[in-house]
Amino acid sequence: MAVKYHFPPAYTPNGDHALLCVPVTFIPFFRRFFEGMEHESRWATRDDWYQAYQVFAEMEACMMSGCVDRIVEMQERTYRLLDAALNGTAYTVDSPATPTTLAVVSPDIPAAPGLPNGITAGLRKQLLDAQGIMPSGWPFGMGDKLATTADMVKALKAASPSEITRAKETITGLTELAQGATILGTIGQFLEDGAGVTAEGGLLLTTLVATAGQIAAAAKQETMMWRLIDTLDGGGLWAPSTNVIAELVKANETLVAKLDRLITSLDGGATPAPSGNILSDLDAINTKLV
Amino acid sequence: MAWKPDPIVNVILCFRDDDGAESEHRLKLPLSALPAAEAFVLDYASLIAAVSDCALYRMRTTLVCKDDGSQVAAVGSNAKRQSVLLFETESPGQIYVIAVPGLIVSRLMQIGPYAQVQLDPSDSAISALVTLLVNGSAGARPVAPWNATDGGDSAFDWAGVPLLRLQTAYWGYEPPEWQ
Repeated sequence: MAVKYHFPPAYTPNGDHALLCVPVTFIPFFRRFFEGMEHESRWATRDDWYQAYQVFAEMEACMMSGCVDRIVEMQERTYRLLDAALNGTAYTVDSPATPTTLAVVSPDIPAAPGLPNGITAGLRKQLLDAQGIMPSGWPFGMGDKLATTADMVKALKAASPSEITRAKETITGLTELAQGATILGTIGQFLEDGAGVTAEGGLLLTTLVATAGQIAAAAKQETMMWRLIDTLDGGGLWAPSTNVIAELVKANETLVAKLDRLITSLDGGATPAPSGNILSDLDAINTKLV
Repeated sequence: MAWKPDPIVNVILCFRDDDGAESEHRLKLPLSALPAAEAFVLDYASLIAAVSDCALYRMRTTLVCKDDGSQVAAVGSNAKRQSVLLFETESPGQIYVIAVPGLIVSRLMQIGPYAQVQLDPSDSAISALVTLLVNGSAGARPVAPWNATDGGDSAFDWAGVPLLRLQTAYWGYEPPEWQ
């Protein structure tokens, strides 16, 4: 009597699998095995047969749905994807894939990867270079070590209470200064004091101090402008009716009025000259004399 | 090619003794009695126990159709060379295999990674065969011999699952033990 198999109780559909490479030309011979194992008489019970049939039929289907050449080609495509993305290597399809052949792509995948032109180190080195190490004592705590994004954010964000107090004192001092050169010197001193010390909020405080310096300088300019204005309008509050222009307009109006009075006294203020004015009187005298 | 049904239907009754040895007993019925064959066999089986101390464990009815002799095998044909058709069934995940003897090599793919091994699904003869197996004909539609959910150990519950579509098809050799 033929041996009857039992379906393995430990089988799980998503369990471990073993990969077996089957030469395509040998696939027809494997059918002898599959058909044998899919036959009901090989199994102890009908349920054993049913379960085993599903597994062997799926393996049989898998045997016809994969190809090592295709798998290798996919791996090569993955290499080209990474090579293009990381190294910028440009690949060209010399001959597209056909049902019988794989695509021909150049350049060939090298046995050992190289670095693209102008690049002397790998991605890790390039990332380290991008961070860079600044001289010891560089402001905002980024000197003498690899500067991280966290360092930069720390330098940007709100400062510690002690740093804020020092910035306020500097700003207050700036508002009391009179000369632009002195303002710049104070800001420079602030930066020098912060070298290697000011980390948290350093950039923010520097910006605030620089802005305060600009405000202080603008205040000095405003003072000078007021002095100029005072010399023009007597130092009174700015008012359109009392400024220089207004006074000139007023003087012009007075002059025009006086000229009108003079002309009226000469010709009566109208053309032709009415009787009774100077010219008509002179004309009457002339008539009598003649 | 002309097909004729055999006018005689075979009713095969399978017996087994206490040692596991098996034997078959055949009855003949006229083709006209085919619709009533099942009822007759049940009546017959109920009387067997009175004349046989073996277990009657299976009965099957065989309808035979025969070619009229006009079919001639092609030169170089090979009955052990199969067209293996793997079908998805209407039950997701279930596959059912139908193997047709005497694969014609020209039906194989001539190009591609499975050239000379995979059957060409676009071949008109292959697609016509697949269509018949999936859709059936004259009200008869082939099934995978189980039910849609799982096996169970009672064959009486297995009504069959119709085939849904061809998954793949290839050239396979029939194993010698089934020849």
